[in-house]
Order: sequence, then structure tokens, then C-alpha cells
Amino acid sequence: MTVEAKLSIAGLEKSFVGRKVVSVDRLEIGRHGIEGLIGPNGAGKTTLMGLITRKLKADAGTLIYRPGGTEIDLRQMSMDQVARAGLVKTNQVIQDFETLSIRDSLRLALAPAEREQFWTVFTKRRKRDAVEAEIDEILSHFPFENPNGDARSAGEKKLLDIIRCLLLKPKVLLMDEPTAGLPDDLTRAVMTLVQKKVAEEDLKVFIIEHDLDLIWDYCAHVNFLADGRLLCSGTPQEVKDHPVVVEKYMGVVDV
Amino acid sequence: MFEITGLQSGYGGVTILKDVALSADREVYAVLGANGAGKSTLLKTLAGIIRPTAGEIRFNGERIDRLPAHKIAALGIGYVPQENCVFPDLTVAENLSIGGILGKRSKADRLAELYDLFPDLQERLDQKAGSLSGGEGQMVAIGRALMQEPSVLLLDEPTAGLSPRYTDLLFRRVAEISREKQVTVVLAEQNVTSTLGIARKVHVLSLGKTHLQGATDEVSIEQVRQGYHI
Repeated sequence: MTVEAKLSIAGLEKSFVGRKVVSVDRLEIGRHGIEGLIGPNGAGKTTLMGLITRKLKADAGTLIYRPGGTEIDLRQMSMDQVARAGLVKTNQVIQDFETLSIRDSLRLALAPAEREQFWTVFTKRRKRDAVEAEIDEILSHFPFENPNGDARSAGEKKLLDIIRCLLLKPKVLLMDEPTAGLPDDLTRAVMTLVQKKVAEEDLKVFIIEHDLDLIWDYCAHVNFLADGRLLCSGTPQEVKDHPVVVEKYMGVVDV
Repeated sequence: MFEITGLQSGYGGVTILKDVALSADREVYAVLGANGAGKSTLLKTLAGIIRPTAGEIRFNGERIDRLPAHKIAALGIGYVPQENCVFPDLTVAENLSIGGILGKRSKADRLAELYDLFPDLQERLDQKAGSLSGGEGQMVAIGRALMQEPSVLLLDEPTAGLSPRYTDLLFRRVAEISREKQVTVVLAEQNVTSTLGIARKVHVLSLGKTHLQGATDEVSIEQVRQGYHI
């Protein structure tokens, strides 16, 4: 039985100043647990994610999201509505609440969404206590130097961004180069947690990454994008061996 | 020759680096360590972005630890920060030209060398740097520092965001630049294996202190990795 895709993209186009950055005829996301998106620098990978999350407005095409039972046309939604519907993205470039400690930043991610009263997680002890166990649990996986202080290094900020997104309990998580700036052991710790969420919470993950070992080890399905177009898709082995991928992306160039 | 003794540095009264000493001379000097170990703080201190609270930094025998960042840059010390750091409203060509102000050889020659390293930049010259992808922005930031023809190059995780092809090429070029142009490269990286492959010396930081330092051919990868688990 074919699993229905969580996200169906068709005829999606985006240009910047006359240069076509994304031109994807067809892409189905969410049939596999963890899927990869690889491609050269400037291929349009981050732009594609920006179009999905509605950070960017597409010039043409359709984006259909199926969070469960319902079908949503993402083109009709704002960025915050997309996130509320469970489609969440981690950031390639570090985004941090500079004035919040690590723990407060995580509290904010777990703040109750009802009636927009997110601040009650800070002001009402009962609500704060309700999220502490979950925060302690997630912090036990990651060695922050001082969870009650600020995230200091770029790596800590990057890690915090990923954890915040996971705490939002997304249905589909888009990860834009999550491991850039993280050492190998933390990269593996992040992916182990993501795998656990995929298995236990039916999370679907779409991940951009240049760390190809991570792509081959963790992804069930991989897509290759170059010059804005989807040039091939398949199992990691199929993509790894594809001549276009080898020519345009991998291997050493002689100079 | 770059020499650091008893270096202490940090932010807002919080000390991050404690008693760090190193000496690098026309070689690739690798700085490794876990998140928060102090790698970026070390490079920012060497570049004059933050001022040390103790210790000395000497460049060719002269103390530079009290100089402002622009005077340190004018001495030929190029710095590429970790965060994608370009002038977003200027074109790629303009960003590179700014780096070129400090170099001595003809700009055309330096640009030609740069396009050998990053051919894709040549197609983006008229594009505003702020509209580039993360990896392309990283190429511009590195390119701008190389245009300066530095005698010391401080690189903070330069391969983050670069495709495998460019990562491989950048490591090779950094090694070449150091060897052929006698440039001292202080390279902070997460990619331990590739970094050790091109560095002559390695310095592992752990919680702001030196965990290990020495010649790369005398240090095992296990010893380096121990510095990540303290």
C-alpha cells in the first residue's frame, strides 16, 4: 500500500531578479520517515523550504499539505499558520532569542498556544511546572554547558534551535543544514533523537545536509536538486550512484 | 610568526579562554574542540574583535593585543567569522573589492585565483550578496579575506554550509595557500579528520583551556576526541 504524502508539490517556481531559483515539477514529501535533499551551493534548497513554509511567495505552482485527514492549500496560509498546522523548519543561519536563557527558550517552545497567552508559561507556576519534566528529559540528551544561562557558542545556539522545533511536536519537520557547526557526536545525538520521534510520534522529516554520511545513514529516500530542478530521487544507494549527482555534486574536482 | 602567551579573554566579564598559549609560523594551525570550547572566542581575540583581559599576542615580534580590529587587518591578518558575514546590500563584486583594498598585487590576478577556487562566484558577480544561498555567502566571505592577500588567515569553521565538493577543494586550497604563499592559517573546524589532514599543528580546547597541543603527526585522533568528552 502506498503511503500518502504529507506534502505534495507541483509546478513550483520562484525567481529572484529574473533568475529562476526553483523550478520543481513534482515532489512528494512524507512517504518515508526521514528524507534528504542534497544539491550544490545555490541549487535552491533553502529557497524551496522557504516556499513550503510560506516565508517566500511562489511565482507559480501548488503546495498541498495533509497533516492528517484534511488537505490544506499552503498558498492560502501565512507563515505562522503553517507552523501552527505542524509544519516547522529549523534554520540554516542561527536564530536565537538573545535575551532568553536556554531553559526559558525551551519553555517558550512548550508554552500553551491557546488564546495566545504564551507568557503564562513564565508567570504561572502551575504551567511552568508542567513543562519542566519534558525540558529536563530533552536536556539529558545534550550537554549544554549551563542550561540556565545563555547559549554561548554558535553550536549551542544551533542545537537550541533544533530542540525548540522538536518541542513544538511538528508533524513535518524541515531541517536546513542542522549539523553545520556541530561536532560529530552532537550530530549523531540530534539524529538519534529525530529517529526516535519519527518512530514514536509519526514525525516526517525532510532534511537538507552537506554531510553525506548523515544523508546515507539516516535517510530512507533522497532527492537531488541542482539549478532549482529536481534531477533525481531514490534510495540513498541509487542517488549516490547516479551519474548526475556524481558529476555535479560529489567527488574531487581537479584544478 | 604569531605568538600568544597567557591569553585570557571573554565577554561581558565572563572569562571564556583561560591561559592559552600558542605559536604558529607559516603553517596550518588547527583549533579543535566541542561547542563552547572557546574556538571562536580565540579567533575573535586574535582578530581584535574582542580585547584580551590578560596575556600577549605578538605578530612578527610586535604586540598587537591592544590594537583595534582594523589596524590588525591592515597588518595582513585576515579573519573569516563563523556566521555568514557579507555586506548584504553590496554585490558579490563589491564585497570582493573591499577585501582587495588591502592587497598589493593587481586585483585582476587575485580575482582570477579566486575564481579558480570558487568558479560559481563568477556567475554571481552582479548579484547582491544578501540574496545568495548560505554556502555561496560563505564563499564570498572567504574570497573577501583571500583578496586581502593576508599573511595570517583566521578561519572560523569555513566549510560549514559548503557542499562536499567545495569542502574538499577548500581544504586543499587552504593547505596550498599556506605552503606556497607561506601564510599562517589558524583554522577552527568541526571536521576533525580533514583538518588534521592538512594541519601541521593541532590545539584542542576544552572549556576554554588547552586540553592538548602539538604536532599533528604526534597526536592520535583518539587523543583529540578525548578533548570533546570532558
